[in-house]
Order: sequence, then structure tokens, then C-alpha cells
Amino acid sequence: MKLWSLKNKYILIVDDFAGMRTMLRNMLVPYRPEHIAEANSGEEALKAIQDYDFDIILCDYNLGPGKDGQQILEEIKERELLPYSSIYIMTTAENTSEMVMGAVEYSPDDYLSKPFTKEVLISRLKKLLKRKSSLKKISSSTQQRDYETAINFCDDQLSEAPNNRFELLKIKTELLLRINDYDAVEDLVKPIIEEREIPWALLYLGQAYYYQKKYDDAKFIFEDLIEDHPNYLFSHDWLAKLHRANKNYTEAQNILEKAVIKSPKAIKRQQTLAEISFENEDFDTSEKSYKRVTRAGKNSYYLSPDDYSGLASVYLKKGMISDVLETISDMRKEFSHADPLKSMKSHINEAFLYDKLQRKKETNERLDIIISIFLKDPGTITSIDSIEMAKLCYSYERNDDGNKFIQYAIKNNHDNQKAIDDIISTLINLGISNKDINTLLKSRDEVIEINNRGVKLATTGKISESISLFIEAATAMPENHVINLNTAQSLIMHMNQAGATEELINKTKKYLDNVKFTGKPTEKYKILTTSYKNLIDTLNQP
Amino acid sequence: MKNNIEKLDFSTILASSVHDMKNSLAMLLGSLSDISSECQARSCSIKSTLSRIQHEGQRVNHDLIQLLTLYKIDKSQYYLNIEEINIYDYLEEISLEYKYIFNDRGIDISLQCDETLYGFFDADLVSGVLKTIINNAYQYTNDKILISAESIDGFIKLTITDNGKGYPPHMLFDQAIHKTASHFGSGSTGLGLYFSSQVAGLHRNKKKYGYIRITNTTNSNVALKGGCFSIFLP
Repeated sequence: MKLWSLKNKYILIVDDFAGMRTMLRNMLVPYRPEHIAEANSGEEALKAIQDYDFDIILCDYNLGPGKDGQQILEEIKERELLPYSSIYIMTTAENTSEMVMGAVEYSPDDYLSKPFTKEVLISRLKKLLKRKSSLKKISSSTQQRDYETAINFCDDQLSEAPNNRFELLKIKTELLLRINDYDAVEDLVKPIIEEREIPWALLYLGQAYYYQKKYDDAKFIFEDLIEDHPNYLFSHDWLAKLHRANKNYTEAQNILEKAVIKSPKAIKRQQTLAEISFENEDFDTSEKSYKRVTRAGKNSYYLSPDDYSGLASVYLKKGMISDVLETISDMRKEFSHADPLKSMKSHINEAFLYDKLQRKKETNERLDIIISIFLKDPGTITSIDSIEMAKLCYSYERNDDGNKFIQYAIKNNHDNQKAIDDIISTLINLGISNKDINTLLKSRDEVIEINNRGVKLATTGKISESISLFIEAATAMPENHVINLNTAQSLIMHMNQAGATEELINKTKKYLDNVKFTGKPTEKYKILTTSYKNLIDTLNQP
Repeated sequence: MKNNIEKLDFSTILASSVHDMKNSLAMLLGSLSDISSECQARSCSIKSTLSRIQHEGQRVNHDLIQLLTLYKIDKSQYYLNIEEINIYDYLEEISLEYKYIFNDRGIDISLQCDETLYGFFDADLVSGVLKTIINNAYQYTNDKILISAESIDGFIKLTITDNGKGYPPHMLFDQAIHKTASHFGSGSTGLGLYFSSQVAGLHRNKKKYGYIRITNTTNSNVALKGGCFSIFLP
């Protein structure tokens, strides 16, 4: 029999205590992993993760100042920094079940409570690796956003009477929710609940009811769940969401206030409370929540410039002008060195706040900065924000700048008639003349022309030229599905002929990632991601 | 001058002290384990003393967890985390934690469980219970400990049997009076049983509640003859 080993595995150990890292390393070394890397902080860990696709991460929860283990996990998941097949184990000296269970969106694959022996660590790793490999087909289709195929794999495995039946049922239910098949969720989950009242099964049934607009049924389920499992906070979130949908803002707020006491570090819940209490015109609660977000979320991926402008809006309502200005300056400090998207968003929020304060000079200064960044790197702004920026520009008599933002939004959505119609009606409301609107809409034809040219180059053997044309276009309109997919396609065509390289693979990934579907992914997307995966495989073969 | 120091509540103080102690224990036990393997390699004579120290370290760790958990249950601050658990994997891991140390003391720890058996319970809490009982069995057994599991009438029954002289009569007697088994007197065994019955009682499914049972096995067709502890989880 072949001895079990960690052969070919890349492992990352994250702990702020060097002694602990060494101890873990010594436990793993006898099993001959390919590589063990160490990090002593969340920031170092994320840097390492961007360089390597680790198979296993052992991360301590409490890492001193800076990010904690949960925040690292959230950032990995939100930014999709690791393949779904990677294993994330949180090591902790706290009793695990009370830490974050049922309070946050992402849980690690496992918790290991310190102290643990080598035998326990190895036994867990064996089981987790086995489990991950049994779910491999499902997780890789899910990562490709091909949910139907993933569901089929679930069914295949369920038909073989597996001993992880409930896990597969849970995954299948989550997939059905993603493709909005609520009747199927009901059919799947009800017999499970007959067998046993498992919180997740009840929660998903409630969600299905919510989306089917059976609000009374949903409410009943969420309220029962809160009573029976007070620490399973997702039911609080959903009940609040339900009340919000029914415009019962006071009740929504009450429920979330109870939930945040139990999960002071869960930033997203705190953000929702801040928003809802603002809608509820309870500015004191909103102020308190926003402050908690900016404090507790200091190292969180979820902290956004919108939290600061939310707080500033509260101060505006309260007429506390000096606090508005102070919050603006805090926001600028926090995000001046952040990633380009967040730092741009911070400038945008500033411009709107100064406008509300009727400070023309400062607003114009911000607009100058925004325009100069936008011209250099259009990808820093979303279409939605760019339309808002256009409105602001027009009201400051900066029509040329306004037009640039509108053209950008049009280019990003050239084949999305609904989006274009919305832009047109915005322009009409702003009093832009028909003639000017028609001129702006010409940027749509520009995109069609560029796309056709790129396709023609690719099909007539001039792939390199096609690639550079598409990359330039994708930089100017980073949200445009057609252009991004064709950029990826020309790169893939090139690799199919000339062979894959790591650099080209990464480029391809970027353009595929730029395509964000709200509904089902298109056939073309599925075909491209499959070819992309195949090319990665060729790269990994010796 | 106004005193600006915010007063911490006791559960926070307790939790962070326990947290700190457990970190130290992790280092202590880790180093001990290294020394122990070194010892093994050189076949030196203090190996069995080392095992005893390792065992005591584990006991302190479990006592700390037990203390914090009982405090939280008392203050209604403990909330269950019910998960679906493969019982074989779960018990195997618990037995692995003890295997080497126990073997050094000439105690054999074995497992009897269907590999496809599943249950729903709070893994951390229940393993706290099982480890406390195993630690006790270690003190009183002759040379064998058996961990077993089965499904009975909608309950999962987890059992730990040893081949020592069994529970003292007064404990069995107390159990007969207090049907919920909440008073077993003081002392480490008594406290452990109190903890176990608290944990069992927190588990509920539909209208059924969990409970514990202690017996002395005398029946010759049972694998071991000695003290026998069972926790029933709905």
C-alpha cells in the first residue's frame, strides 16, 4: 500500500508567533510537502497567496494588530484568490463554535482548536483532502459559474448513496438558489426538514419563499429559526431583509440591532444596520453603526468609502458641518493608498459631498482629479457611477467631461438595450438636445466597428494584431461583455497555436473575470472557460 | 479625577485568560511531544513519565474548556452549533489524540463503530464530554478503554467503557434518584458527570432531549467489564 503523503502540496502557515509556525512546520515536514511558506501577518499572507495557489492554508485566527484569520478568508473568497479546491483551516485558541459560527458569510473548511497533536492535524488533513477531491467536479463547475453542470454532478453523487449526503444536499440547494429555481429548492428541502430541522435547510426554504414573494411563509420560518437557534444569525439578516422589502424599517432595524450585539466584528451586517437606520431616519443609530463599521472594519475587505460618505450624510442631516468635513478627510486618508477602485470611489464620494455642501471650488477640484484618473485608467469607475458623475459635470457646466462619462457608459453597454434606454432617458431628463444625444450614441457604432475589425483580424490569421486591438478596447470599456470575451478568445486562440504561458494565462483570466453575469452565463463564456482550464492543464504538465 | 477605565464583564476576563492559558498549553504540549519523539528514538527511560506529564497537560486543557463552557451555560451565553457529523471519523480523531500517550502507559484504546453512522450535535461540546470521561477512565481502568457508538430509537448513543472496578455505588445511587443526573457530588468525576449531563441536556431534536447514563457492566457478553458511560443525543 502506498503511504499517505503531502507530495506536491503547497502549504502556507500563518501565525504571528514564530514558535507556533515552527511547530506546525515540524508536524508537516515528515509528510514531504512540495513547499511550506510562512507568513506572520494577514498582509503577508495575502501577498503570498497572490503569488502561489496554495493547496492548504493553516491560519491562526488571532494575528495581533492587522487583519485576523476571518478577514483573510473573506478577502480570499471575495477576490477569488484561490481555487475552490484549496483547503483553509483556521487554528484558534478560542473555543471554535462560539467564534463566528452562523454569523459570517464564509466559514473555513475546518477549525482546529489549540492545542492539537500532530496525529489530529494529519488525520484532519487526510479527511479534508479526500473530501475536497470527492467534490472536485462540483466545485470546479461552480467556480466556472456553470451551475447546471454542478447540479448534475451533485445528482450523480447523491444517487450513489454517499456518506456525505447532507453536505451534497446543502451544496445542491445553494446551487439551485443561485439559478433562481425556487420550486426545486422547496421540493428538495422539505423532505430534509421532515427528517430533521437543520438550520440551513430551514433558512434556504425561507429564502425560496422570500423570492417567491410568499412573505408570510418566509416570515414564519425566519422567526422560528431565531427562536430555536438564536446564534444562527443569518435568519436575523433574512428577517430584516424581508421587513425592509415590506417597508417595515423599524422592525428591520430592531432585528439587526439584536444581531450585531452577537457579531460585533461582522462588518456587512453592521453596514446594513447603518443603512436601514438611515432610511428609518434614526440618525443616532445610523451614526453609531457607521462609526463601528469604520472602526471594527479597519482591516476588512468590506470597508468601503461608502461607509464614510454614509457617516458624512448622517452628519449632514444633523447639520453637523464640521463633522462632515472631518469625515471627508478621514475617508481621504483611509483610501488614498487603497486599490485604484476604492481610491476613485473615495474621490467620487468627496465630490458629491462637497456638492451637497455647495462648495463649488472643492467640488471642481475633485472633478479635476476624477477626470484625470479616469482618462488614464477608465477601469477605475463603474458605468453606474460614471452616469452619476456625468450628471454632476453637466450641472457644473462641464459638458465635455459629462459627455466623456456618458460615452464610457454607452461603450460598456453597447449591446444592452435596456441600459442604453436608461441612459437616453437620463439625458432627456437633463435637458440634453436630441442632436447631442444622437452624437453621443455614435460611440455605440464605434464599438461595433472595433469588434468587427478584431474578429476579422483573428479569423484571417493576424492573431497578435487582434489581441492588441481587443486589449486596447477592453481597457477603454472594461465592463463590455462582448469585448472582454473576444479578448479572451483571441488570447486562447493564440495559445492553442503557440502554446500556453503563465503570462498569457493570467491575462486571459483577467478578461474572463471582467465578465460578471447577473443571470446565467452565456454558452460562449462556458466554452471559453473550458478551453481556458484545458490550457492551464497543459501548463501544469511536465 | 474620573475613572475612565471601562469595566470588563467577567465572562470576557475568563474567556481571555483561558485563551491565553490554552496558547501556553499548546506550546507546552507541542514541545513535550517533540521531546517525547526524541525520547522514543533514543529509547530513554523517562518516556513513561513524559507520557504522564503529557496526559496531565491535556487534562488541564480540558478542565479549562469545561470551566469556560459551564460558566457560559450558567449565564445562558452558550449557543449550540449543531452539525452533521460522521461519527466514525469523529471518534477516530478523539481516540488518536490519546492513543500514543495511553499506549505508553500500557492502556489499549479501541474503537467500535459503523463507518456510515451519522449524528447531529455540537462537536466541540460533545468532544469535551468524551475527553473528560476518557481522562477519568485513564485513572480507573485496568488496561483497556473502548469507545463505541450506535443508533438507538432516534438517539445516537456514544459509550465509553473501561475494565476497571466501575463507578462507586453512591454515584449509581444518585443517578437513580436524580433522573436528569445533575448531582454527582464534587470531585473530578462528579464535576465531569455534571458537565456531561449539562451538555447532553442542551441537545434537542423535535421533542426529545439528550441525557447521560452511567452503569457498571457485569454482563459477560459485553466486551469489557467495568465502568460504562453513555451519552444519548437526539
